[in-house]
Amino acid sequence: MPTAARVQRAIPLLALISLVAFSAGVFFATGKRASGPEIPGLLWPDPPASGEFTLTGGDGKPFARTDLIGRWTLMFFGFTNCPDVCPTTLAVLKDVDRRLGDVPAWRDQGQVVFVSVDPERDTPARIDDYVKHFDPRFRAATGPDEALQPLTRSLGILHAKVDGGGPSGYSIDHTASILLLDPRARLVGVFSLPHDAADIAERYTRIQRFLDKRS
Amino acid sequence: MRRPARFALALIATFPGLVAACPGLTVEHGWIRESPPGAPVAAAYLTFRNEAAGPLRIEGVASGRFAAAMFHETVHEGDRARMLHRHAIDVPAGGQVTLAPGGLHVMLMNPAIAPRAGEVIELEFKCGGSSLAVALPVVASDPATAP
Repeated sequence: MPTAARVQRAIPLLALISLVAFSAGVFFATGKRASGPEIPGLLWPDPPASGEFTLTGGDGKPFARTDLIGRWTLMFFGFTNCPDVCPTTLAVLKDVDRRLGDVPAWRDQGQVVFVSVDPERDTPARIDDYVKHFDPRFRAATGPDEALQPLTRSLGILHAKVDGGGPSGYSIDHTASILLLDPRARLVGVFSLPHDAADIAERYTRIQRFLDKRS
Repeated sequence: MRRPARFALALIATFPGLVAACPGLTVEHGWIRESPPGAPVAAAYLTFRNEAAGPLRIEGVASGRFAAAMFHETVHEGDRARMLHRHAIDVPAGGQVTLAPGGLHVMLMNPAIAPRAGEVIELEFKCGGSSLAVALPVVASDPATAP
């Protein structure tokens, strides 16, 4: 068979393959969307699970993955030498907590956890004082890089030490999203900047109801 | 420094309205966030307004209460927050620049005593050969109580 004819014959086959591939793409794309409600920040259907980790809590005791089990956790990564984003975010989390005060799942199982990615300067005692300034129920944890990595890697958190310029010493670039972990320690929600307490409280409630219905 | 010069500087700091301090510059809606205990840093937020005919450059900031003070800006790259040191802030003629949470701010480092809600702390802004001293209230972290 001449080459041109072979190519001509192949065209309908290629078209068919393309159509099947396209349909499959549409099926999976829409199927994915149909399996979860339209809530901005919801990670569904494949929420990444937190890795096994052991940090030191603000109370000096181990803070591990088991501390996330059976609880709804709003988690934020930062450091106490951070004058703007970290206190602003903790103040927002305080406001979120207040707004969720009459949501039973949050009232009974909710916790706010601040993880310091600056173990060099942030001792457990310091981060404990820091978070308790915002709310005495807030929890804090930190640990050396190798202890932080299983947690940060599994949740997609980036942090890097950079020159702070001048007498401030170093600073840390860090992921500033607020993360929502469900009672199985799965990352089910990411609340990106800018943070608005009313909006986060509303999205939390919708995500939690959606997941509670499924379990 | 000779005594008259020192006296003049003290006068500028004490009575900013009496001496031509940063002509045309006013500071509005200023506040300092109360620091959590042990936090070595704090931030001040405010609006610079320039009522002069020409642009104004604010070249620096200082406060007797802190070991160092500087302009910083939080910039967001995707979900990542970075802090950048700004050497100066330019306020256009007749315009304003706002320093607000999540963006431009005055970074205040290593306080002699941590700022507590209810107090007032003086900051001094430098522009050209002069400076403008303003007293800012310290407020609690809760955004609902922030001015």
